[in-house]
Amino acid sequence: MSEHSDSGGHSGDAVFHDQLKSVLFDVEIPDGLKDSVLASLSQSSENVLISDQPVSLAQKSFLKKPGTLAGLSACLVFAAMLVYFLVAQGPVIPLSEFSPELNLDRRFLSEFDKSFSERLPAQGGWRFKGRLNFAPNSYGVSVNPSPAHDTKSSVHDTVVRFFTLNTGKAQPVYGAILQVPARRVAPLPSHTYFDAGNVEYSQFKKENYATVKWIEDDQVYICIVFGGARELEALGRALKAASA
Amino acid sequence: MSLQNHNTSEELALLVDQYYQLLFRYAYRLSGDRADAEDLTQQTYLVAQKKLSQLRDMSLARAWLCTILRNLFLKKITKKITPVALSQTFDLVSEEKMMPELTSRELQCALNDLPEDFRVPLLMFYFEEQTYKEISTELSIPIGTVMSRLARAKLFLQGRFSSLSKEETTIHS
Repeated sequence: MSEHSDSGGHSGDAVFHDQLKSVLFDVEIPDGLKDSVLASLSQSSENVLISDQPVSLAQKSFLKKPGTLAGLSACLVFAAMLVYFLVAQGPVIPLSEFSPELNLDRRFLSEFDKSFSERLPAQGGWRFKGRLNFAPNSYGVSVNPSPAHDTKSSVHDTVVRFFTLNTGKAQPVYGAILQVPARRVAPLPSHTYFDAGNVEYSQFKKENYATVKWIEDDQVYICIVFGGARELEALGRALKAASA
Repeated sequence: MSLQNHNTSEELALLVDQYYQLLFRYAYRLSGDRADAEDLTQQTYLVAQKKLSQLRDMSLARAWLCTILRNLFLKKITKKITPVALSQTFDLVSEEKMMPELTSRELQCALNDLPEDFRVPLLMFYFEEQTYKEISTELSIPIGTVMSRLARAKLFLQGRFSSLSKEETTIHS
């Protein structure tokens, strides 16, 4: 199979591939688009000006002064060091960015790049085995990613662990806990432990979520529970029971 | 008008005639917005007008124009990640429901839900007809990542347009 045909090893995949290709190109073209493009090209070609003025003597002599060159070089070195320092630290991310609207679809997340030390909260029953079951892998999320064509430089800003809580009922509680170094977040949460009373309820894409944020030592934790007050309280009870 | 300018105009007019529809469709699938797609198409040709001397072989015009358009789009998009619901990671479907047919409109809704890191390589594959290696070079990402993202993007789209979805609450491992 050529690397471009990508029609898959199964006839079903090949059918979907052909269907997808067909529908992708099924887009109605706006009336007059071609004329509009030609008109803008015509307008643009009339506006083209070519500047061919020689560089003035004053500009030429400026760069020949040794003091100027030394000063410029020093500025550039300083700027480079500042940029390096800032990039190494990473930009500060608003606390509000950590919400159910983050891209937390596991199908599109990559394994956590270990850009910082990952650990579950020490307080509460997060680390105790019990009714709380964590998925085996940790995933990384870049909250401020580089553009798609420069993904190599994108470092994970936060690590996500997905969990389920068996409540004894048919439907478990689903959630995720995010961890991000406190130096990367502003403003910092006011609470220093998981408190189900300190919750933000939200709705996104017709689903309900309950979010709790707190800071523990030098790490900020964000717990996002799928559901509402009932699910959050169930989690709170389970964590309390586990740590008792 | 000089002879050179006249020839340039003719070449541009030919490029418009041959590719404006392809570029608009590509722009629309990238941006999800018809007005943005029109702007992107126009801007692509304006850039092409300035850089026409770079196009030495007209047989490469399609790839060249698509690259210009894609780069314009990537510069334009905000850095905010396309929001995807947490519930999708748990495959939560509360009740049996019929998945929509694979129509142009439904496909665009699905593409809008696909993060750009996955949408762009997918559309490069179909619209620019680039190989995995070419996509890898263009986007500066490993070829394995390209293959993985393309596979996951198509799986995502396939999941949206399956014939019937049953209630399930499995966790992806």
